[in-house]
Amino acid sequence: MSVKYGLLGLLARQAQHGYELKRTFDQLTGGFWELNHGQIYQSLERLAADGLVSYTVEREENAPERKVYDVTERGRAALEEWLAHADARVRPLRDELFIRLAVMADRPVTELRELLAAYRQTYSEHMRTLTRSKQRLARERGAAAAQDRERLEVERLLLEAAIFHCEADLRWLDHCEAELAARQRREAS
Amino acid sequence: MSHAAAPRPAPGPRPAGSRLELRGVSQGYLRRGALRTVLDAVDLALEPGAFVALTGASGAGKTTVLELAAGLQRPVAGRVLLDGADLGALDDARLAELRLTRVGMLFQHHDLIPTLNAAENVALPLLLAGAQRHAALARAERLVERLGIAGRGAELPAELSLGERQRLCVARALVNEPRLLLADEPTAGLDSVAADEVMRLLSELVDEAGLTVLLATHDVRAAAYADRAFRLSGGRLEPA
Repeated sequence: MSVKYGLLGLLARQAQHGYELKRTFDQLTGGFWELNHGQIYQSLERLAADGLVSYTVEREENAPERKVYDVTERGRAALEEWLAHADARVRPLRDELFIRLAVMADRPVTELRELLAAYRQTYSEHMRTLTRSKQRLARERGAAAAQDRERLEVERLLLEAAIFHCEADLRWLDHCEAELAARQRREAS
Repeated sequence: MSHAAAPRPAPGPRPAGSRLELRGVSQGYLRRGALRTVLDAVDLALEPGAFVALTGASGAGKTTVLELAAGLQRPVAGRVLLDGADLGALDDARLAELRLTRVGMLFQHHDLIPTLNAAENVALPLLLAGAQRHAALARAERLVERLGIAGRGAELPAELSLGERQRLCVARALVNEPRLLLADEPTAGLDSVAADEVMRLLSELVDEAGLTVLLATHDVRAAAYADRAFRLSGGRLEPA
């Protein structure tokens, strides 16, 4: 659903062909929400069928013809309607680790701690990768032309969302580890 | 288990950092008549230019490792080597000199001198090491320019925000051009934006200088600025 409006929002800024649109979308979401070409073209076809976008066919010599999409008046109204009504919902918390922990509940504490330690290493590495991206973005933003700064700023905020989520996972793993270590000490004494 | 941390692969100046090694280091304290082991035969090696984070629960021994690396504590067993020199073999005067010239220290408490202005606080380690006042203040001012508080070197610490004070502490820890930076919870008490500014400044400055850094923190965001992290648990180090 949000992809449809994301594409409408981008087209409302500037008419684009499908490939360009994919690139803009990927860039805007900082690489965290990559769409494949199929999803883009399928969404555009549906938007066109609903009369929310229109297209003109561009023909260039020695190149395949391309459809350049633009948002219609109806599409613009639908976009405004969507923007005006934020649909705030709590995201479902689903992770394979939760199932694993539940299944392993009666196993020895050492096994549970090993499982958590493996996850912590993976999450820590991911956190370092995200932090390096954040540092790179800060450098790029410092050197960027004024018109690119807003885009880089949004990209950085989306990256922050990923960092905060990863931080929450790591803090939860630390919390579990502390509780399990205490349990192990109690069992040993 | 032995843990070695390689220097950062990023391009930049040749590392001017120290090599820090803990070999089989154990440390413990007497509590209510019983010996409580904090570190149990810990091995850790930081190559010049490595940036390593130490994480772990409160009381896991993070600060103990930093104090051992600074020669503020002596281990009950094992050796701490800084550029090959065994800190356990140095007397207190030599250790104090080493801390003043080769080791930068950064703590969670903004222990700035309230009656000295920002630039004077930054210049203090240079003055203690015998630098000329004029030259020391000039260098401090140059560093203050980097802190995002340009032109405010004459303000007292109380006139600065918590984040700005902590950035001053970063500059003060680096003003003597140390080869090893020991940072203990440098983002404690700061909100995420101020903490990020402190860590960004710290990592930029240590990167430029090619310093070796050991950062003790329970802040997972701060730890992620390091190239590698280890977790202290039950007196042992494990990769994190």
